[in-house]
Amino acid sequence: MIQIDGQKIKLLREQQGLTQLYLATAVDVTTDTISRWENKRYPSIKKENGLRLAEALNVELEEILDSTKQQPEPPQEETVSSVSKIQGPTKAKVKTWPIVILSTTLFAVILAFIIFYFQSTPSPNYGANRTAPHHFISGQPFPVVIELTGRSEKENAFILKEKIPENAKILQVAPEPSGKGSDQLFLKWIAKIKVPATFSYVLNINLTGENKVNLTGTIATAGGKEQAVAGVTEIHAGLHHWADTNTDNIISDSEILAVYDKYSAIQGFEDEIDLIEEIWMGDGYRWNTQTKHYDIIE
Amino acid sequence: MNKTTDNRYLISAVFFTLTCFYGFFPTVAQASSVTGRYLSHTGPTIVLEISISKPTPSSIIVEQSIAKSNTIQSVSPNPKKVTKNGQIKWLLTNLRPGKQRLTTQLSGQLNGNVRGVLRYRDPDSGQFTEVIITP
Repeated sequence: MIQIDGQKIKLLREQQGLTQLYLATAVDVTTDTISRWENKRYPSIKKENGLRLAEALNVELEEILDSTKQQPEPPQEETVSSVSKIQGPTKAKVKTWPIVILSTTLFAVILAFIIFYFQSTPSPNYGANRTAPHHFISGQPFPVVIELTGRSEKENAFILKEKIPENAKILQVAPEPSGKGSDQLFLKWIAKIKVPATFSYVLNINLTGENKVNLTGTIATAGGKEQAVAGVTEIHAGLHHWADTNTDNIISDSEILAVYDKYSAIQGFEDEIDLIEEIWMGDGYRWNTQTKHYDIIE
Repeated sequence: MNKTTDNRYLISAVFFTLTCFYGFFPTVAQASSVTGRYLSHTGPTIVLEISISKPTPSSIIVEQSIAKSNTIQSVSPNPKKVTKNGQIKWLLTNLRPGKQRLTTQLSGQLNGNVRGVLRYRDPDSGQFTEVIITP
């Protein structure tokens, strides 16, 4: 058990514009519990809940602990007692091979059962994969899609966090995030959902000097450890439309099909899809750096 | 035990092992989810029927080519592109399982041949797939 600072919890939550419901879902407790923690001066809570609470508030655990006293870990109970065994006199030679065969057979049966069990029972292994173009034009929108993967019949609580590059404007987000940084440097979703599920956002980045941006994020589940979002992590700025993957100034059939496959479900992205269709219908395009528009070659 | 009995045991054992293997590790092999065929192709009406089954791709491009000596009067549904070379391109989106007919009305009988190409991304693997349709 650890002792936390209730007033500090409330202060941090209010500063970030988070609700008690948000914290309750993140920690997997009720809103009454969060309220009780905030209203008590120094409530004692489970260390596991403290870690989740700190995670949801974007701070280290030490920051929400009762600063007035040191929190020593309770001493671990001795689990192994030292018992001295008195061994009897060594027996004469005994036939051991039947025991060996029996125990080997038993081991094989147990192993077969374990293998069968893990084959037939879906393991709740979750992950997240980011799909995004490998290049974009500075000042033009491009999409990012994150797919939560895994196998589970029931709903599970997830916290998905995406760090947004500096100078980026978030144009669309779906579903609505549970939290946004005041400076819009991260997006955070907390949800109790079934996987697979899709999260998406559209960015517009004005780059000055740098020619690439990094996208990073994490996914955490209740009781599970946090892991990095896999997939595309680096996007380069250039003079080709993000859908023109081979940068040949043509949107080909395979490229427009890929756009529909990966990004057409993004809400509010219809205008960009229409533009890609227009480029696809033409014989090619050029990015006009003066007008900041695509010149479509007919 | 003679040799024939041994062989029977061996065959049974192999059969049992294979049954167990495929029972525990079923493989899922699905056929192409999009097919097409020409219902009419001599003119003046050319009808191409597309069959879409589950899982449906998110979009399909259908390209139909006829000799440029033909005069196209109308095309249904509206294509995205009709070139002077007799090429018609449809982009079908928001797809549902079922059949869809693409009709091309010519001013007379068809000169030459008609050829269709279906392009889509396989819904399971994401692989770009091309299917050629001839009457």
